[in-house]
Amino acid sequence: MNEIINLKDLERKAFRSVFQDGLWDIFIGFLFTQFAIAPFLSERGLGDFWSSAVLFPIYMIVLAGVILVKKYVVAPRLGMVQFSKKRKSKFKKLILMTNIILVIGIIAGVFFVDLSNLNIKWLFPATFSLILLIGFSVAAYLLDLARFYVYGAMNSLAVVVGELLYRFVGASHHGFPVAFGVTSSIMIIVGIILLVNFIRKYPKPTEDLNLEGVGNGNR
Amino acid sequence: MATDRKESDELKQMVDIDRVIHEPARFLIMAYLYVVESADFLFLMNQTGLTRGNLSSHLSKLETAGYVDIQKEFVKKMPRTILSLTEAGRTAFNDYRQQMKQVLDDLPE
Repeated sequence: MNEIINLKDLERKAFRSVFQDGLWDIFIGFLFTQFAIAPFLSERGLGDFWSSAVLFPIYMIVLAGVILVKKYVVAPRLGMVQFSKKRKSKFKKLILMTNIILVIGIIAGVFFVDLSNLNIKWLFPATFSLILLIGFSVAAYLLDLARFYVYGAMNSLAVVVGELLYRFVGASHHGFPVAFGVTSSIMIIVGIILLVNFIRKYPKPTEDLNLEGVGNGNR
Repeated sequence: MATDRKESDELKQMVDIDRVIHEPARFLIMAYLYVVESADFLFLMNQTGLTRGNLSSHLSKLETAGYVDIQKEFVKKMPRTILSLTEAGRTAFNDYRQQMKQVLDDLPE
């Protein structure tokens, strides 16, 4: 037993266990529904900004739900853990990288708005697709979550497929409602399946886990 | 003569192995606590797959050896047992790894 234990794998397993509840999949999935819903709202006169902004309170409610489920459903089943400084620094890097990608995305968005009169058909979809792929891949690498690579590839491909549907089949709004409707639904469904499996795998402990006779100097 | 001394040193190394850590369940507990800063009893129980009684008994031995620090606290009136390796525990685990590596490396093919 001693010989086959790899400490890096052990740490990775412990870290991954925190993300096996699927709650982040559900939340990210909901965030991506924005690309499917916002175009319709924009069409009804809300404009590009307000069509996204109006969905913000809904995402805040979903986020609040995720936090509550994490606190009252996941934590009492999984227990609490504080990871090493190295892991915490990796997490900080993820937040930094996410912000950098977000800023690049905003700059690219503004830049492409200015270029909208030019006939550069594939520049926006290609850039957006790349940003999604890089963003999810960075998260997958720093969080050691292989399924995020799949999400990255899937959403990146969704932009291209959407554009193809728009150009060749006449799908509305650059095919975003269809393409992102599918990818966001997949992420939400995967999240729900993971959550159900998590609840099944880790039933809420019925016994008191306070140790008698050990701890706080009782030696 | 030199060969005899080498063999004797190797045997001594095996005898000197830390038996508190050498027990598989305790080794697993130490390994988990080595790779994280701290964890509560429930998390460790889930990760190691040990039963409450088993884990409790091994933790008690590790605490007696001075390898594990066990802190009890109350969060919203609920008791929580926080576990972490002491400096002595971290050093002992590192020493154990080195010793085992040495012993296993020195074994003849």
